[in-house]
Amino acid sequence: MTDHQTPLSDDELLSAYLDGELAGDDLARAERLLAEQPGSRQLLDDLRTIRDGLRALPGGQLGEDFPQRVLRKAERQLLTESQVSAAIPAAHSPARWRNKRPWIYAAASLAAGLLIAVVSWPQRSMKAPASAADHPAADKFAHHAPASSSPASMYPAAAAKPTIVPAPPENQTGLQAALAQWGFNSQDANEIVDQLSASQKHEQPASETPPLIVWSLAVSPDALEHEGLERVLVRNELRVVEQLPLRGETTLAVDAASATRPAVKLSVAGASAIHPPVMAVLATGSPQQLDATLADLRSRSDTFQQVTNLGRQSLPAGGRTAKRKSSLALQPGQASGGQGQAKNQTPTEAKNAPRSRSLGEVQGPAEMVLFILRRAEPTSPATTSESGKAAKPAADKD
Amino acid sequence: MNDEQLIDEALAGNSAAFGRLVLKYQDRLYHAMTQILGSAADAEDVVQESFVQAFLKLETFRRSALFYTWLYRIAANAACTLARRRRPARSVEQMREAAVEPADRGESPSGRLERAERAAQLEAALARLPQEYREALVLREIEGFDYGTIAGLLDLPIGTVRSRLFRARMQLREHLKELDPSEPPKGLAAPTSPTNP
Repeated sequence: MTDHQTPLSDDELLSAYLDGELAGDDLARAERLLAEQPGSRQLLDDLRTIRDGLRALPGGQLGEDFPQRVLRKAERQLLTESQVSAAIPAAHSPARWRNKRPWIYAAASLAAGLLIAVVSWPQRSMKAPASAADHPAADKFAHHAPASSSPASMYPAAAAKPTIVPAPPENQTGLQAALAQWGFNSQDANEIVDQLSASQKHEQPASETPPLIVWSLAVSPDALEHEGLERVLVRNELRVVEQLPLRGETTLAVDAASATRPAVKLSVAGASAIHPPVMAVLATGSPQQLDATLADLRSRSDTFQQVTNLGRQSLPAGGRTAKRKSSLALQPGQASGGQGQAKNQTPTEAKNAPRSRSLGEVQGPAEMVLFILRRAEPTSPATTSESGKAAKPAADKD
Repeated sequence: MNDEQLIDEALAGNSAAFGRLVLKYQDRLYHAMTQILGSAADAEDVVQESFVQAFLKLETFRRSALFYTWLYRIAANAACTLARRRRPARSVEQMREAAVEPADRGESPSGRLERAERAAQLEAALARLPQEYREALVLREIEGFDYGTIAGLLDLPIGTVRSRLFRARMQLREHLKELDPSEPPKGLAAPTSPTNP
């Protein structure tokens, strides 16, 4: 090696010799050192032993499902990016997205629920009587939210920064309107919507109505956004279908009814805000994925201080015209951290409150799980253990 | 199908082709990032994010470089960003636990334990190196890149790469002595012929 003007030290020369990166005079000098000096031979032996040790370090494996996790995340990010792009007209380039059309289609197919959430969230948010800024807990969420909030952001802070999507024209669906906002022309938007519709029809056999599992999560006040539920769901490949802050009485109604095809519809009764905010997230996945998710959540007790299984709601298969309804009443202490918000509602308010508000329809063959998220109360000195760490609440059994 | 063909397929909209690229390189990148970051969980996050960025920016990939070196550069940037935000958090004990692999057939429990302990010591010593030394060492010893490739990846002159590798090795040797002063530097494999570099 002749890329240096000053001679290398003996030791540095031997290091380069070990790498086979010497030539000419340097190589001859290294070989002379090794032949004449026992100390040089010892150093080379040491360096070689270290090298062999480094090369033999055990490497972990990410598993055969890792590519799917990457692709799912990329697809979700692609959707987020498209939304950001639409929000910045100067940077907006429909042609760019047209070039990525195959990926957009794939992303749209996989994340149909996500798209629906993007469209419906602002409408709900605009009706909110109180903003997240009114709630200290919501500010805390906002502090941890990423700069480019995902449309799938799990926490109530997202409600404080709604993306205003105008009401769609009569001949457009909400999804079509959103796609138009993102720069698709009407033909492209129709194509995507048709594809989604076909996909949903294909995925949802007419006679199947999946059961609903409900888990309540108390999230640490100190948890970082990226350590939140979304990360766990992505890691375990659960598909987020819908999410929004719960309001009013913590009563969820699960309907298995539809005039055209069975579906599960979640509704929340009541109108007043819950303090602190409580979030509902509906996701789907296979039983194995749900098991893995539950184990994952419980292994992250620093973030999810309490994971409670509130039960499983098995629904009867819905007929084409029969309307069946099962109610799942959540105790205030379970879903809202024991604040008893429903009690703060006057009888008049309760009477005038909307009877129900749809959270979304769920289509899919997998099991469904509804996460009820609330912020755990900050640890008080009385509940702090001697080591200074918060005492971990016991997790319930499945 | 080689990398070029898989990239062409992916750019044409076949995301499964990109999935095959991920499967091909995920463990290699994960191994390198684990050693650089000193945390398997952080490494997994960085690897996942790197592949996501590669997927999203695939159309900007110039074929003059190998796909893996391009991917590695993305991962290295992500790792640097993460490392700036965090401090090494793993204890030697955690590293020892992480180093334990499933039992090999024919290896005695004591042999397995000894190997795991040696790996843990080496990882602990590696974690004590400055980031730039650790990265150079990982690129050379774990990735197997030559000086020219490392210089290109790190945007450094070859002389600086050589110097960093030398200093990294000498510091690693000292750290290993501190961790176990009764023993010479430990590797996992027996020394080979002294005349064979």
